[in-house]
Amino acid sequence: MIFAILVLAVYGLIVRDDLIQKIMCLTIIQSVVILSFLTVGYTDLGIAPILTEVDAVFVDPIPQALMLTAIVIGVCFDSIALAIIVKLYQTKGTTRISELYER
Amino acid sequence: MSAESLLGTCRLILVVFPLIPVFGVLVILAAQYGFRRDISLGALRCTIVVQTALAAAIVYCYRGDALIVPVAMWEYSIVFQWDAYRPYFMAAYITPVVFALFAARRLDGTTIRVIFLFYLAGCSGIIVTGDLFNFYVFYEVMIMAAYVLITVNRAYYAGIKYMVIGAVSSALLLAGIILLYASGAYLRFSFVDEIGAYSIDNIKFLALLFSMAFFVKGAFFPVSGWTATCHAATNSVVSGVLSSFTIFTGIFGMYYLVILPAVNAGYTPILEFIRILSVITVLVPSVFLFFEPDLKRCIAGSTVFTVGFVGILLSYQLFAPAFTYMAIHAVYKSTMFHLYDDLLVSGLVVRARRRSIAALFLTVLFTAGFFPSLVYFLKYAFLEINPYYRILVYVSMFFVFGSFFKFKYIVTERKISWSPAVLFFVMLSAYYVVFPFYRSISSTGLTIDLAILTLGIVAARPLYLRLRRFSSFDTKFVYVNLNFELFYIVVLLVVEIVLLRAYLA
Repeated sequence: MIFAILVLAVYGLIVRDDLIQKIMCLTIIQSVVILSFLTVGYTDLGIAPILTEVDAVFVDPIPQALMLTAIVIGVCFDSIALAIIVKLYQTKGTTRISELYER
Repeated sequence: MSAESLLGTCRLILVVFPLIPVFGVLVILAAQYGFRRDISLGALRCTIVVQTALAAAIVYCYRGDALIVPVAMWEYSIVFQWDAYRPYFMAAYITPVVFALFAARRLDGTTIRVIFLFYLAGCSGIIVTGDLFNFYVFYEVMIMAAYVLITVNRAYYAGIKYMVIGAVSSALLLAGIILLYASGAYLRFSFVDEIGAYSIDNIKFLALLFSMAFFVKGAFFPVSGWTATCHAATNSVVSGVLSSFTIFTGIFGMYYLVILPAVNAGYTPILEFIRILSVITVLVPSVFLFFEPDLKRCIAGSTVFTVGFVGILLSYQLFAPAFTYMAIHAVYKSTMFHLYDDLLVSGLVVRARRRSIAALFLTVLFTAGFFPSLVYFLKYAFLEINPYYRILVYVSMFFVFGSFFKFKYIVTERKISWSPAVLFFVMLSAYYVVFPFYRSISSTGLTIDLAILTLGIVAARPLYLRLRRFSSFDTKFVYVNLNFELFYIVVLLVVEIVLLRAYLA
């Protein structure tokens, strides 16, 4: 399932002409990567990695910490990208790369 | 000072170094909102001076083996690291930053200076990082700031192009980190010591993912089309750091996450692939460069040619020459970008002061790698391994040198506020004094060099004018738009898989 979504997102990233759609595809790719890493640290019936009981089974905190960082970075990326696209639209009047050719 | 206290100083500097620009940001914001005073220019300059002093101190204090500094007494804790090759990356970082010290006024406005400081924080963090978690975070801090800095001249398309390409490479890097962690490794760079214990399939996949991520970040052909557009879009201060350091973070990652693990695990086909790709990266972009009519894009695009040479040296595990090449490149590339502001460019005619033209000629000599530039001696490291490399070197030298000599240079006298030429000559002299790779050269080699040099000066412009219909060849036919550039990433991935499985294995 994850692989199918990844293939679709990569396809969209390469063939789509609109920059906003490209950013959406990139966000999907990033989400796929984040989901994959979270499954690496998943433990059945594991609880959040906060030391409340000595014998408790925790999920692995490293993937969670790294992916939390990746999510924050992803949000920053999306906001900066969309802000630049808005500026681009204001100056060029389009967000389509075929009309935006700039050396 | 005793060895123990020197070590203690090194540890302290490693932790503090990336925090200096962040402290600068805090001071600027406190003055701005607390006292309504703009001290951004002074704070930026102070940050650069302090970082340069700390860089000199750590190079002076460091002795012996790799120094690893965990920030907590936990086995998964993030770590900072310093080893024998970090000084080269430090030099590649400090050089453009020192140029920025003198040209800081060109970063116009408090907001831009604050973003530039965040950019420096990311760059500094990468130099001292010792694990992948840190590397990823510092890389993203650096690149997020770079995305914004690229758009300072309203080059929004260049900014978004850099963002999309950067995001794809970051996704590949993150995928590599997942696989590494799933293989049972910690995220520290020292995982290479135990990589022999991992499954060979995992090692192959790791090499594939990390190499693809760093091919894109390091601008190897054919995923190098963005460099000319993005690095040339912004002002000279930012362009200098982008071309001198940021692009070589790809080489940093390539060394720690692809080459060292591959060597330790005995997986050498990946080195052969890097070598093949590096040869193409030297040759094809240098031809593209010749047909590039924009001088600033020529300066930016010539970085790819250097990346190719560094890649060849790395693939032969000639690490010291490779990183020295990168450090020297920082000097002449920063100079070129700062000199560009000194020039009046109109089509193929460039007007400048005599001193600027002299400095530009020297930097072009270095870019192409003619005798007696320092990089000339570094190339001998791999020319001796395979004589066919001579053809590659001579052909690419002509095209790169010719790409700058297709312009007509006219001497004018005009007043300018600051010229980087003096700083360039000072730095260059320092490099000549400490350079350890001198060797005797044959008179035949020297004669061929001189012949290509003369050919470049005499024939480049007539040849270009005759072939002018191929002007901007790369952007017209190869990198037609962003979709093509993204498609080349997939093509490179497929070619790497096929070559590694079918031919190089």
